[in-house]
Amino acid sequence: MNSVLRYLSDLRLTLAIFVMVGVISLAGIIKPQIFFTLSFNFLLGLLVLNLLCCLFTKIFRTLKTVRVGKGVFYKTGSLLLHVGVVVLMGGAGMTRLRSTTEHVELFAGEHALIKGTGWIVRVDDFRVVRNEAGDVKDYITQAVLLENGRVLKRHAIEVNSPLVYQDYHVYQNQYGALAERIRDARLHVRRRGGERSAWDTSVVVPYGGQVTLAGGLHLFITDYFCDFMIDFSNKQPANRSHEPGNPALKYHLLAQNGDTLQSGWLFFNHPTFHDSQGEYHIQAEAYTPLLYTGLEIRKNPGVPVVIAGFVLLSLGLLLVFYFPARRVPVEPTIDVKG
Amino acid sequence: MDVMFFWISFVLYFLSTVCHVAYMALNRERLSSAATLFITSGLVFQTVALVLRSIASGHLPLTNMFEYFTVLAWFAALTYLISAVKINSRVLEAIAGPVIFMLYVSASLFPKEASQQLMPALQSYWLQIHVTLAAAGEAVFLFAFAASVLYLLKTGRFSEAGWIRRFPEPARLDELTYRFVMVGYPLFTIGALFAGAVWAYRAWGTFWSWDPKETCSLIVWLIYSFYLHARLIKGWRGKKTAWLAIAGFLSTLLTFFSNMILGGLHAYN
Repeated sequence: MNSVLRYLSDLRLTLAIFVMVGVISLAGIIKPQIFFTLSFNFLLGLLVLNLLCCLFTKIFRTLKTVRVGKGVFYKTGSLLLHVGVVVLMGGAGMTRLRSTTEHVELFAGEHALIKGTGWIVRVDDFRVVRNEAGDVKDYITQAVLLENGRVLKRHAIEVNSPLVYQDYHVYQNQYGALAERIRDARLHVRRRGGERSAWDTSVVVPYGGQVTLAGGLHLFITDYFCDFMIDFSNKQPANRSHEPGNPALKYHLLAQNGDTLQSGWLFFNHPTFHDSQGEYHIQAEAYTPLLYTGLEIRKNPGVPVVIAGFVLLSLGLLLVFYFPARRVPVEPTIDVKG
Repeated sequence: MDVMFFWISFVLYFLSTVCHVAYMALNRERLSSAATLFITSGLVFQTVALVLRSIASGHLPLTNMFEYFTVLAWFAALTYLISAVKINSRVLEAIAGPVIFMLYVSASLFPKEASQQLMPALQSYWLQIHVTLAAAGEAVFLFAFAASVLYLLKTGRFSEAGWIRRFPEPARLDELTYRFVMVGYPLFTIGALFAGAVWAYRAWGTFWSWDPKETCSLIVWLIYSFYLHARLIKGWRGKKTAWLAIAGFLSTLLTFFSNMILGGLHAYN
């Protein structure tokens, strides 16, 4: 038993593990799946075991020799540092084994049940904030956590600012827009003709709704494609991708009596396309995509343990390396050969 | 405006490199003093450049490769000055100085536009803690690398060559390497690994993602951990630890380029 303990606490084993973890990590840069293999996790487990054996057989023994002024910072720091690594690895293990992650995509007004809790996360609003140049500055989900209709917590979830309730965290993960529907579009309508009959206006038309124009005309939007193309197999419009490469919508202009005056496709990237047809000149100016927010709901009981590991390790590092008497050697009190 | 100050400091660091090389060749102390003067002036202009850039962009310049290399060179130049005062090894300075210039050359190869709008994930005070401490640690590792290179030259086949004879004694160089690692290791561990992990947890809910840069940083940490254990407990000295310190710094270079080649969470231009 003693020989097993001696072997497991041998520094040569520590160094060998460092080398093996390093080499595997180097391979893992190209092939990250390697980090989830049994052999790699076995190595990490062996490192923890090696550290524990080291702590019990050597470092605690070292501490008995501590006297104030005789390398007390170094020895205490060394202990904290190594205990910190064990705690950190324990927290990482708990994270790997006991954490849960759930991904939901919600539109404003929708909600999702958080598994195993009876809680509901509801999205009251989601918006993308842009700066003057149009770059994304932030994306914010106004969320409410509910239990049986009772509000547990409200929070504006942003990247770097999750909703935290007990040991659950709700993160802003991503967002996206529907490829075949929008919230509304702004269209510019101009009636051609003489000085008396001509007019022009810009109107915001809700998708699926209608807007009444001068003279009792009705304007509708019925279809939208974010990356418009014609599918030649059936000669129908379709999406080339889910990115807004060529956003287009179909409008219908109806007379007061319901007769269709004009109908056709408008292209946001090519506003003059179809420019010349009909009595009414209609151009697509802008649109509001229908955005959903992607939230990640995580429960990780390992978090406090990991944080404790970080704190212990950091304290240990500072004591060992930056405090006076840090250079008192530990060699005399540690049997390096086991 | 800040780019103009960058180029002024670039010229000053270049002049310091010329003086360092001339010092190694001619062994004139005045050349070494001139090199230190150029580095000091370069650091002043570089500081002005960084301050102006921070004011113009509204955030610390830590968000793209140009800024990262510039900040790394700034920390390296600062370490140079501190070591010039505390250690006063002109030969060590003559090795480290040109490497600082090379960092600056690397910075100059990247686009220099300051991003006016930080992506949401970068809008966190953890950015400053994480990147600043990591860069400071890596800058100090550069000096451990320089001392180790000197050690290997001093104890190598050409140790009797005239210019190598001026190097400090091997034991002194070994001790200097150790001291630099002692300073850099906690900075790197706390900054690159812990602060980065806590920030990742705050932003994405996960401490560690095996992103290429994270993995490279772990390799750097393993090498220096190996160095410290081998030196402190096993009593390793000399060539073996010198090679470890060199491997550590070369792995640090790998962290810079891994995200550029392989992408990942740290991918920025």
